[in-house]
Amino acid sequence: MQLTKVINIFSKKMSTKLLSLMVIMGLVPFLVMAIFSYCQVEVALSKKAFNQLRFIQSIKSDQIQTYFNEKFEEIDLLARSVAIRTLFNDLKKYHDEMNVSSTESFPVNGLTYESYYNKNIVYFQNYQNAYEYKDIYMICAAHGHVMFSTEKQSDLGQNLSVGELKDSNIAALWSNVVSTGKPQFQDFESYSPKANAPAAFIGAPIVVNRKIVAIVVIQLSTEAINKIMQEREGMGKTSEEYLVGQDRLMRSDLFFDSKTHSVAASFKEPSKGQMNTEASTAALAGKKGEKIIKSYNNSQVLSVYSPLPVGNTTWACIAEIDKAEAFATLASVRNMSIILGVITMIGVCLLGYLFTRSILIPLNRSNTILNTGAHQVSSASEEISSTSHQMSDGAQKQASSIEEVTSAIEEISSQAEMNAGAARFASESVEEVFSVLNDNVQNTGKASMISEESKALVADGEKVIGDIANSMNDIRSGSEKITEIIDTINDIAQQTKMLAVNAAIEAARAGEHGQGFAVVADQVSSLAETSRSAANEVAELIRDSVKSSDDGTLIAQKGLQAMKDILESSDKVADNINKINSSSVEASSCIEHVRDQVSGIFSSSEEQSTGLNEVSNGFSQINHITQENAASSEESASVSIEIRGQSVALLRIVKMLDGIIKGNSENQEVV
Amino acid sequence: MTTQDIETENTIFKKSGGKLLTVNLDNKEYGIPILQAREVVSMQNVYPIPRTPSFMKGAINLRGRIIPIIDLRIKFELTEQEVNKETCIVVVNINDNTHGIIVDQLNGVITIKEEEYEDSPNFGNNINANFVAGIVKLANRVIIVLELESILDNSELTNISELLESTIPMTEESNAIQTEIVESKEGE
Repeated sequence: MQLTKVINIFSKKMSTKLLSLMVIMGLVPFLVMAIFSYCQVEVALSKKAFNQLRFIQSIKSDQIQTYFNEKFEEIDLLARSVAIRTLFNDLKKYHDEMNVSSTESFPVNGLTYESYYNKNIVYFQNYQNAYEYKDIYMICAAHGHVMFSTEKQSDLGQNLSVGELKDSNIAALWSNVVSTGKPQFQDFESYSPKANAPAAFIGAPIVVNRKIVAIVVIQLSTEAINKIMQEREGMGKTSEEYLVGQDRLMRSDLFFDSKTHSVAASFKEPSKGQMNTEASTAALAGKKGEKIIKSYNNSQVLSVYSPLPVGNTTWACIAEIDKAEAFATLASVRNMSIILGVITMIGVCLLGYLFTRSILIPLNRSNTILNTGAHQVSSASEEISSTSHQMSDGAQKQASSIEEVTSAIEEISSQAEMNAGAARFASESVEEVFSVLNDNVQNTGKASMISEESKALVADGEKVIGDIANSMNDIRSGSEKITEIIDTINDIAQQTKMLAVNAAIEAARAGEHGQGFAVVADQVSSLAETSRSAANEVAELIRDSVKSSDDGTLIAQKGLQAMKDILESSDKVADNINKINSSSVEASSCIEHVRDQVSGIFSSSEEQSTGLNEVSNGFSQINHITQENAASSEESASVSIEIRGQSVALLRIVKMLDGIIKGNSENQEVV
Repeated sequence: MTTQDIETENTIFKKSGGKLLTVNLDNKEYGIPILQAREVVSMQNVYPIPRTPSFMKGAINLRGRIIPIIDLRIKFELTEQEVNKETCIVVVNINDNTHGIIVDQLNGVITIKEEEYEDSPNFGNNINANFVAGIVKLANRVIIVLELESILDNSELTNISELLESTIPMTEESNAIQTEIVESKEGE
C-alpha cells in the first residue's frame, strides 16, 4: 500500500511537478509579503485615523468648554451691570405697586408694565443679538415671577413656584440659583412656552445689599453649539462630530442626519433620535477611549469619545469616521496585491513552463537514445543466444552421429574377429589337407579314399573361403557407411566453425561486452577444427581398412579358384589312379599355395583388426571433443543469457526513467 | 600508404584488438578486419543480375535482405573453381553498403599483434596493390589483409547496391524488429 502511494506521487508528470514547485516557490513569498504588508498598512491606517479623530475631538471638546465658560462669564457680568439694575428697579417698583402675591402670576398686560418694558427692551434685545442668546429673562427671586422676557412668549408673567411651569427646567434653574447663590446651567429639556423646542438655560443671581433679589437667565442658542461642532476643517468626508446628553438625546445636530438626529428632532421623537451607541454609553459613564464600533445606523465606524463636563452635568463628546473611508487605501492595497499576484502567477507559470521544457526535451531525447541502445544490445544478445543454441544442437547431432559410427565400428570389429577365426579355421584345414596329401604321396594305396576325403575337405574349404569373401563385402559396406558419417561430421564441423566465426564477429561488434564471448567462440572454433581433423584421420584409417579388405577379397577369390582346381584334381585322382602321384605332388604344391594364401588372409585380417582398434580410439577422442564442444556451447549460451538479463535490466531502468519523465503508469507494470 | 590503409589499421588494432577473419582463396590466406565482417553464411543460390561486371556473380536473399555477391577469384583474375562444401560467403559491411564475398574456405578468427603487421608493401609504380592493406607475418604463415574499400570502391557496384537497397520492402524489416521487441517483453 505504502509503496503504491509513493509510486502514485512519482508517477505524476515531471513537468507538472516542476511547474507546481516553481509556482509554489514563486507565490508563497509573494503571499507572505502581501499579507504582511496588508496587516502593516491596516495598523498604520487605523493609527492615523484614530490620531486624526482624537485631535479633532479634543479641539471640539475644548471649544465647547470655552464656549460655556464664556457664557458663565457673560451672565456674571450681565448680572452686575447697570442695565440689569435699572431693569430690576423698574420691575421692583411695578411689582410693589401691583402688590403681587406669591401665588399669583405676574401681570404683564397693563399699560404700566408696557411702559417699563418698552423702556428697557431695546438694550436687552441688542445685547441678546450681540451674544447670540435666544432669550433673556428676569425672575423674581422670592416668588418665581417671570418679570421680563425679551421674546415676550407665554412664559412671561408666569409664577414658577405655583404656575404651569413649576415642573419645567427653568423653574428648577430658579430654585437652584436661589439656593446656591451662584450662576448655574440647566440642561436641555422640552420647553412648552417655546413650542416644546428643547431649551437650555444659564441663570445668575442679582445681588442687592448681599441679598438675592432676582435672577437673570439666558436661553442658550443651539446654533452656536452646532456652529462649533459642525466646523469641518480637518475632518474626513464621512467624519461626524456630536454631543450627547445624559438622556442620550442629541446636544448638537448630526451633519449627515439632521432629520432624526438634530437636537430639535431628537427631543421631539426621543425613540428615533436617541444615540444609544457603545461610545455614548462609555463616555456618559465617564470613560475616555477610542474603538471601532457599530454606529446608530449600524455602519462600522472608528469612534473617539470622552466625557465633557458642562455645569453640573456631563455630556459625551464623540468624533467618528466611517471605517470604509479610513481604510480606503487598504482596499486599494488589497486590489493591487491581487492584481500583482495574478501577474506574478502568470509570469511564474510561463517561466516555469519554458524552464521545464528546456530540461525535459534533452532528457527525453537521451532517454530515447538509451532505449534504442538497450534494445540493440538486447537483440544482439538474443542473436548470440540463438547462435549458441544452434551450436549446442549441432554438437548434440554430432554426438548422436558419433554413437552411430561407434556402433558401426563395433559391428565391423566383430565381423573382423569372425573373419580372423574363419581364416584360422581355414589355415588349420589347409594344414590337414597338406598332411593328408603328404600321406597320399607316401601311401598311394590309400589314394582313392584319401582323394575322396580330400574332395570333401576341399568343398569345406571352398565354403569357408566363400564366407570370408562375404565378410569382406560386409566390411566394405560398413566402411562406406562410416565414410558417409564422417562426411556428415565434416559438414557439422564446417557449420560449427561458421557459427563460431559469426559469434566472434558479433562479439567484436559488441565491443567490451563481447570479449568473454569472443574467447568462447575462439575455443568453439578450434574444437570444431580439431574434430574435423580427427574425422579426417578416421577417414584415412577407414580408407586403409577398405584397401586391406579389398586385398583380402582378392586373395580369397584366388583361394576359391585354387580350391576348385583342387576339386578338379581330386576328381581326376579318383578317376585316374595312375595320375595320383603326379596329381598328389601337384595337389601338394597347390595346397602349399593355398596355405600361403590363407596365411595371407589371416595376416590381413589381423591388420584389419588393429586398424579397427585405432578407429575406435579415434572415435572415443571425437566423442570427448564433442562433449567439450557441447559444454562450451552451453557456457556461451549462459553467458549470452546473462548479457540479455543485463540488457533487460537496462531496459527496465530506461522505462522507469521514461515513466518518471512522462508520468505515465507503465512503470507500475514494470514494478 | 593511403589514408584508407591507416583507417584499416585503426579498425584492426584500436577498435577490435587485432582480430582478423581469415579465409583461403586459391590456397592463399587472406585476412578481413573483423569489424568489417557482418557474418559468414554457407554457399547458396546466387541469382544472376543482368548487365553487371563479370565478378559480380549476382545477389542472394539473406533473411529477406538482398545482398550483392562478388566472386573474388574473378576480381583477382584467378582461375574459377567449382563450388564445394568448403565454399562460403563472407558478408561484409563497407561504408554502409552490404556485400557478400565468395571465398574457397573459412579458416577462422585470429588475434594478431601490431608488430606482426606490415603496411601494404610497395610493389613498384606499375603494379596496383590497392587491394592489399597490409601483410601479417606469423611463424609459419603469411596472411594478406584485404583493403575492402578499394575492392568494393566501384561506382557500378555502389549503384547496384543502392538499387537493391531501394527495392527492399521496408515493412518486412520493421515487422521483424517489432516481433523481436514483443519477444523481449514476453521474456521479462
